[in-house]
Amino acid sequence: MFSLRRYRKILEEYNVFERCAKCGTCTYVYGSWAPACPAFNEFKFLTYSLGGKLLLAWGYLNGRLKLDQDIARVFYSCTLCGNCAYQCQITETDGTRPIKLYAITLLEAMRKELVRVGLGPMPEQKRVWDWILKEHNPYMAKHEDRSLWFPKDVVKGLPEKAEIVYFVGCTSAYIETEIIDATMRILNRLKVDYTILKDEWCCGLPLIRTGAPSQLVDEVVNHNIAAIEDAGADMIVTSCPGCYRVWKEDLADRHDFKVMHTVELVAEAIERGELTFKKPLKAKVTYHDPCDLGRHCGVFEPPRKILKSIPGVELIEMERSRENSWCCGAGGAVAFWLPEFTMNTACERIREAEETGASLLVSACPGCAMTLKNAIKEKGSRIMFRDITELILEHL
Amino acid sequence: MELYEQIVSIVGSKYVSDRAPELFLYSWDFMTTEPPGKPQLVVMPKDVEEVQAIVRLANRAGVPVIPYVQGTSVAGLTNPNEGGIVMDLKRMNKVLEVNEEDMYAVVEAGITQAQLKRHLDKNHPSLRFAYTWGPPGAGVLPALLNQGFLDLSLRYGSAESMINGLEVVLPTGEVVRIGSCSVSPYWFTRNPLPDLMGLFIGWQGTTGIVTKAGIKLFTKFPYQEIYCVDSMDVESGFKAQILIAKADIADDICSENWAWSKMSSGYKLPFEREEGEPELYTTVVISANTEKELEAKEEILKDICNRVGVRVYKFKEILPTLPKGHQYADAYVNFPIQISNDWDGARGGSLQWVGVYIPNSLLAEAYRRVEKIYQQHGFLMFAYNRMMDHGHSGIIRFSTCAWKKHDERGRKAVRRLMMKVAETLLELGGVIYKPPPWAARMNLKRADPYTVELMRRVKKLLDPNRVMNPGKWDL
Ligand SMILES: Cc1cc2nc3c(=O)[nH]c(=O)nc-3n(C[C@H](O)[C@H](O)[C@H](O)COP(=O)(O)OP(=O)(O)OC[C@H]3O[C@@H](n4cnc5c(N)ncnc54)[C@H](O)[C@@H]3O)c2cc1C
Ligand code: SF4
Ligand code: SF4
Repeated sequence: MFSLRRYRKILEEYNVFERCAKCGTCTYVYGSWAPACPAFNEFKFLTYSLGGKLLLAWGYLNGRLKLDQDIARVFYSCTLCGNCAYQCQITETDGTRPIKLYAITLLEAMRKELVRVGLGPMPEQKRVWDWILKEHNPYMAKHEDRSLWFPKDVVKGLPEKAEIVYFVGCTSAYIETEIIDATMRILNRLKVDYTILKDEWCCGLPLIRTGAPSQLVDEVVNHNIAAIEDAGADMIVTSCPGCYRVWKEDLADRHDFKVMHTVELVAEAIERGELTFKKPLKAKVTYHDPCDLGRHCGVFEPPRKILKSIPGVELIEMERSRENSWCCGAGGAVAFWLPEFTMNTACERIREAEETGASLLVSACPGCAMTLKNAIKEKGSRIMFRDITELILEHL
Repeated sequence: MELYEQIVSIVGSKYVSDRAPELFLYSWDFMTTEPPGKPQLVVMPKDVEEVQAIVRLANRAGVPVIPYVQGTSVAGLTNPNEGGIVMDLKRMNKVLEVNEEDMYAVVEAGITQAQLKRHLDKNHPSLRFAYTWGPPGAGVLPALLNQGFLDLSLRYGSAESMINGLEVVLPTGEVVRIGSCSVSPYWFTRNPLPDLMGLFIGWQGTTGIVTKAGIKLFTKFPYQEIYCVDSMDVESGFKAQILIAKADIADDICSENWAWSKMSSGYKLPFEREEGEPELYTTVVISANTEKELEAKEEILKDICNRVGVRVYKFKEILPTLPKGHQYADAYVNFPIQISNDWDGARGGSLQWVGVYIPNSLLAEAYRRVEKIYQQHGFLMFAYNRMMDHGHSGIIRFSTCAWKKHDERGRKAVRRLMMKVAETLLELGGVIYKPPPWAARMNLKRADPYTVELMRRVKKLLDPNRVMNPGKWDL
């Protein structure tokens, strides 16, 4: 959530702007040369690659380019998946890779700048902002309906105050509602002291990723922090990588809560021998790394550990996995205004999943679940999708 | 109808842009001192028919067309000097055929090194093509069409000799085929017809747009070793290179001077040559069918190096000691590579070089003369050379980096230096390759007047309305 002006200093120290020569490496997975950048893949012009955007930023900061609506569209047509930054090989003698470290924050800072000058976000995203501030979710749903799909029997037994807050997130609350059920029952099985917030609001992701001014972000963030403090918790668990990254990275200097994704909690329990899977799953399974969980937060191993612990599972990696994972297409809040781009990107992921010969595609993200399930339908694919929380619960 | 609408009617609105971000991005190479241009439109055709239609339209309207793949020629060859339509060919990236037996591929014009490498690795793992050290995202064909040099150029000749056949859209819109593919279904050779290939090679996209090419593929040898040959002065280094080339044992012989080597290691300027540091680092790549063959070649290499008095050792021996930022470590084994340190290593983020084809006997003298010029201009000299075509010719290029993209004074100073270097190398007997417009003029000034006249006639015949990439090879 840096502003471009604050961020400029860091970028200049590493000379990030000067060092890009739009060479195009960031559009490929380095070494296997599979496509890496969904935006470039969809829109084709160089402009949409990371290099293109870095040079647009350079042009703007050096007074060679005036921001306009078309430039804004380029910056908002990016899933912020971060694959590009991993592929650029620009390296310091000590091994530091400045583009990898700073490019994505720069893309976000540019969005913030576009908002500052009145060119961002895109109108559809602006409607989402307004809705979040009014009804505290981005899906045009009523706030009062947020808990409609929560498993009543489980919720009933939750304490008012607890060590852990399960932060549900909007996508689970309104769309991928099975994830709530699964997560809560897993938490019960783990016998952890947890509760849910009486009045949870959107974590603020759609605001943060689209460059909303700090005061808007603060409105939702302050509410949630106060609610968590009220619940007496010192830890947040979530099954949503979007919320996870917001709490763990974006808001790191705003709270002292420990933040964990469900897969981390479960993997630790498996490690300690506190959780074993009894029911086997005889299937070839492939795992999709959500960008917010994998590339952005470095959580690659726990979901794999879980899947490998289910008896009978044969885990087959897709060609692009872990750091090189192809985005599902919904990141960076693009799905709100470029549904076709999201769908095409998701269909490409389904194609890749099919290529492994797996019958089951698993991920650990309600956003990816929504997008990939839509793509499976669109393509008429025979592959099945399950969120990892559901799989965990079914095979305990 | 406006030009924009007309082009939209050919390629659809998704693939044409007259918007600020594209016009900015395609105006310049963001690397060299070559001035940016002002494109009117950027267009991405999908096939030869669309290319034809756009070119016909541009020709009628007298609007320039600039063929473009990644714009990384390090000479600003895609900067639209006189505006017009930048034609980004990257949607035309298919491998149309791979003939394993006859070792060639037919590819579309926008295919990149990364894409062809991926295709061959997945489908024809025994075959490879010859690479430039350019970025993975750079086109395969631009280097071939513009007489670049490749990692197999010592063994098989400079880049254009990789071409077996071409399909070209002429500036007036007709499609021609050159080479065996004009007579036969096989793109296996450019012989035995009168060789019209020259009408499109070395012309920097000023005589037509190549839409397909048949290019040579090579088998991968089972044994390969990379050797370093370090010399305390360039004289002994180049001498060793010439003898190794003559012995005909290597696939590639190329070198960096000490400064280039530091740059590619990721060091930040200012840096100096340390005491005892070699002046020239030569790399020799040797491949073989058997271990015995490799051993025999190694013996010859060592013998030459001993005679000349230069140090030779295996590259893998020093690999663990290289700085983390060293980007050549992966080279040869894993082409293509992003050697971004070459343009940003010294932290300027800019790069320009003057390179010449030169008789190898003149390499050392070229180095020393140019060194003086760099000293006079107060710049550090980065030099790189490569033996070509069994040692029959060579290239040497001198580069400058470390001025910032927006630093106008730096840009001008580098420009003055580059011009002086070019002049000196021409005087010595070199010929500038991939010349930016000013260097092309220098080449022409020294050229035989009838040669220039012939070039002019050829250009006029092919491109009567001067629409193809005007400003380059300005005849
Ligand atoms: C770090 C670095 C290292 C490099 N090392 C090497 C090297 O080892 N050897 C070497 O040869 N080069 C080298 N190069 C330069 C090299 O020219 C480019 O990397 C690459 O070949 C250019 O590809 P491109 O796609 O960027 O071409 P572009 O810049 O897009 O095009 C180059 C020229 O070809 C013309 N052109 C492109 N396509 C067509 C077409 N279909 N028909 C007609 N004209 C066309 C363009 O109009 C332009 O004049 C290096 C560059 C860099 C940055
Ligand atoms: S970000 Fe890195 S890989 Fe991408 S174009 Fe720039 S230099 Fe090349
Ligand atoms: S963040 Fe993702 S979509 Fe955006 S430029 Fe990078 S790779 Fe492309």
